[in-house]
Amino acid sequence: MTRVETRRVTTRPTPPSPIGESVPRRDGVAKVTGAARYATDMTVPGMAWAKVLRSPYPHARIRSIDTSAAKALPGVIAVVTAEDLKARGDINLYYGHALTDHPILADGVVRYSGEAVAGVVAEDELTAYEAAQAILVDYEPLTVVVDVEGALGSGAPIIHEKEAKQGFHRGFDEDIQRDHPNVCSTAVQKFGDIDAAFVGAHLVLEGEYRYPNSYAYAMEPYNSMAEWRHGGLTVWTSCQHPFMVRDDVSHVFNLALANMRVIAPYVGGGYGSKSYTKIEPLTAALALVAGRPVKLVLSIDESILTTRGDGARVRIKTAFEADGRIRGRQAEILLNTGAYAENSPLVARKSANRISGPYRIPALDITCRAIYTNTAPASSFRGFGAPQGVLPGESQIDEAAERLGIDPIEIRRRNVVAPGEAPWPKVRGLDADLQADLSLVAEALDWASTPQPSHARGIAISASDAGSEPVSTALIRIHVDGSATATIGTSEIGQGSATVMAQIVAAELGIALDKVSLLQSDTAAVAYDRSTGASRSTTIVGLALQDAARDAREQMREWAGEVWSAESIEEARGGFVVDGVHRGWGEIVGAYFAGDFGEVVGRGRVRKVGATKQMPPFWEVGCVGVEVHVDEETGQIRVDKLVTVGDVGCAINPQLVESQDLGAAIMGFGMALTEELIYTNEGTLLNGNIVEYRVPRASDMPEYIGIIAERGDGVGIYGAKGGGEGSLNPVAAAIANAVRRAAGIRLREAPFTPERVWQAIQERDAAK
Amino acid sequence: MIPRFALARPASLAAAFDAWDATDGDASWYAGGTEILQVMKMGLARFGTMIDLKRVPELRGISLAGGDGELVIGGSVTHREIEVNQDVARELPGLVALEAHVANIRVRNQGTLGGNLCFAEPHSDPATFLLACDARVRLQGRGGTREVAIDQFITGPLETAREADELLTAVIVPSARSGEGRAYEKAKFRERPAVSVGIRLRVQAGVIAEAHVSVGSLTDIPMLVPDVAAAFLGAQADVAAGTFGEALAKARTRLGHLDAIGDLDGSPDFKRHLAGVMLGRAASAALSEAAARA
Repeated sequence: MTRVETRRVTTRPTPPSPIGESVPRRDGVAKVTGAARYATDMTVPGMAWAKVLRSPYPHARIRSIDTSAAKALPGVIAVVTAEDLKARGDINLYYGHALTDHPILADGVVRYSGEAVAGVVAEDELTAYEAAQAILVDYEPLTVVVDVEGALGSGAPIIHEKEAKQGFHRGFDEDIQRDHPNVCSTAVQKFGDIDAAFVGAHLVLEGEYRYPNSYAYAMEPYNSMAEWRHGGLTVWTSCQHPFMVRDDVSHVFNLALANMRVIAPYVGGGYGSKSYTKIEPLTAALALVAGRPVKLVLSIDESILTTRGDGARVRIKTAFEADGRIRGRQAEILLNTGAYAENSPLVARKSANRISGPYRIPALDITCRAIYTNTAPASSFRGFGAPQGVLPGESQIDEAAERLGIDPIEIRRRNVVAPGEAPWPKVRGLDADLQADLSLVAEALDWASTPQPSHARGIAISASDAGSEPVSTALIRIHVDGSATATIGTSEIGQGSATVMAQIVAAELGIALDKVSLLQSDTAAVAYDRSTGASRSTTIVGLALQDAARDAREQMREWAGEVWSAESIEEARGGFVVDGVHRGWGEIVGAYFAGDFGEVVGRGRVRKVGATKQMPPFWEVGCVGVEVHVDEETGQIRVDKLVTVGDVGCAINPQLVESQDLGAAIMGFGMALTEELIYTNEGTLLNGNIVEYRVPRASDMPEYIGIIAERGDGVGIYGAKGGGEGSLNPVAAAIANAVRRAAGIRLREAPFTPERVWQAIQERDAAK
Repeated sequence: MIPRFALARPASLAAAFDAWDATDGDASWYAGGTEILQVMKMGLARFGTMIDLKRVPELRGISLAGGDGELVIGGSVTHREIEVNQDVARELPGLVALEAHVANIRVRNQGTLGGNLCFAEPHSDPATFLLACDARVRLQGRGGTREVAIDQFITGPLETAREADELLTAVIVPSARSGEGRAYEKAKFRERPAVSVGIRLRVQAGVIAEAHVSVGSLTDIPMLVPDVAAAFLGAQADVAAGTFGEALAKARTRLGHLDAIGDLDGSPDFKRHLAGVMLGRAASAALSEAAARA
């Protein structure tokens, strides 16, 4: 059994119960026993099954598609191609919230191996599968490019000949610049005098780093079910952002938002990979053509071909003073975005913002371009552009420390921004104390002591400007018995929102936790929420719930005043003291409606005003330390000890915070050590399955010290702010820094596979 | 998806052959299904009938009932059953250690030794070790029973000497002689080994008198490498001894001439290097066991 230790460092005021208590997950028993319902479990009467035919070619023109044999199979209801959808006139074939570049089914051209070419609807899944295999497609192969250097080369095939329209989601105007046809978007982060920073520098470090194309591996694959009834569309789906999917799909079918309903039951893992729209337009289109409710469940192998994480090539240059202070940083980040934009323009924006780290840097010159290639489309992935830049950025901080003879923790102390200090102009000051976090990690790692031979310790830190628009609403209905139902658009994706939000409602109303129920993620039934991502929900939706509770209390204060002609009404737990008598919420509701019935509806909202006006609404910092062992014979790196700091302001549920931090860090192990989608130059994915794409598992778990730092410095309720990504971002850099100290090699290409380590060791020995 | 097939579930060896005869040959045996069902899911194989062997009692059980107390492992014994078997632990501890690290726990609980050998995956752990152990398999068909040495049984990647209608009913491993040690070491980065080495050494009067070395996941099939093994002959049976160090260096050089195949775990050069590392570790472990059996 691996040793796990939790430490809590708390300087915030004590919040009301049950805030700060590790109450058991509300969905825990259901999930462990299999009783929990996911989208995959949903059925409706008359439902048919769909399967997808995928392209074996990474880049090809489709000469013709012959569906006759497939259509002739008994049990087949419909066989659908892009031509069929275009011929209808009531479907917009292309979707995409950032760029509308993604056809529901390949439109005359396939841009990656695995792209959906045709859909089949049949009475059962196996018949649909067999029919899909019976479709004959005549392809004309085109030149293929799988890497970013190749895609920007002079002879590169152009992946999107027509420039796509901007999607409905605003905020990308400045970033959609195409200085090459294969550039999907460009993000720039520039200030200060970068030339001067390098000219007078004591030390200038330059390097090229690589981060892998990755897969988030949610245990529940992409799946959805669509039903058209009474002129409206209902989609059950495994998605993080039901409202964003609603908006996207409504554009595809020209539907009023009121006629478009998206329901996300429990989501079996997201990690960003289920942000925005995936297979919902296809499922709905197939249901429309078939005239039947349709269910489409992808395999994990198909899910890998649906969305992955952006790989990166980063060229970085940092200038230092002799005392280790950073003078300036320049970087060119190229993200391998794959065949379609998906959410990569925003990933590019965030990657450009996050490569500089939580440091006081006088001059920055960062360009990040998202590049189209003939690979599966990349999109949001936990960390969101941060780890791609933190690996190079934090590697160079350590490199400078070594060259300048400064301790790695000390050099960070000399550069890190103070609480309240903004790392670049026009953003919120840092709402975290990284000096203190560094001390916590140093202590937990026993930094000052000498490790065993072949062992060494490393650290890295990061800061992410949370990409969370402060746009959320919530409703709280307090019933006549004093219990309450809250409706929110936050999806339960395994992060624990069903538990945390209930804790918030219970605390804000002063009622028992078992008197609170939640309805989540049904766009026809719950209050609007923008998204479940960017570590935003506890902070932003928590504020909306607090506002809804306030609104309910204000109404009931009026009601109590009216009903009892009160002279004094005082705040109390679970109700008001009205002229000296405690009146519970239920009693006030019943008295107002003059009977044993009625309810009060509290409305809460958060928008870009007041405390949440300045972006980002919060910073998510990361501070990670590791101790590693390097087997110089086999090249294997083993992480023996892991320390994370969950700098979350206020842990509403500490156990869930710890789960998020540990989960994030272990996910970071993946890209640092084993995970990479490997494409041949011909565009074939060699390990598009979960056997050969190696994600970390329980047996990889090191000794773990999880520190939760609660300083009440977040914008959220009781000083809370987001967590769950911060402890992923520095992991690869921390491991690389530790390996440098253990074996004298500097690893610049993640994952740090045994062969890459072995090669670096050979280079080290050859240089001796 | 797994294509449609009929399922037969015989409860005896005779019933299994009857089930086969009822199919016109468009059939496959299966036990754990950890390999064959994957291949069918990938669309690379399909059979009209799958004959499930899990209920056939003649394929179960582990005993020391062979000649001279040889270890006899039934064809449908799972990896996990071998891992926890006391007879195997005493007689062939290297196999217990190997089985504890085959693939993952789900495969170990479901997959069988017989199925593993019949599938003849080039990365097979047991095939590599059993080669060095001079094991043999018992094949039974309508026409009778025959025993085939492992190195004759594995004829190519995913190919064996077994006829389609024959069953692998048992794996037989000779018992260790005095002064003999057997060991298996692998480098494993994913589910399957990156490279593995099996070794059997016999020590007489303090020197290595007999040596057998096998390599797996390196070339297209698990194979014996006699010239590598020969390098150890005459060396002192002591890892600290100079002659042992020279023998190991010579063996590694000879490994370096193998026509290794690169894969997701590494280039041919790296895999040859790894094989050398594993050879050293396996030889050391085998010498320890040999000393215990002196």
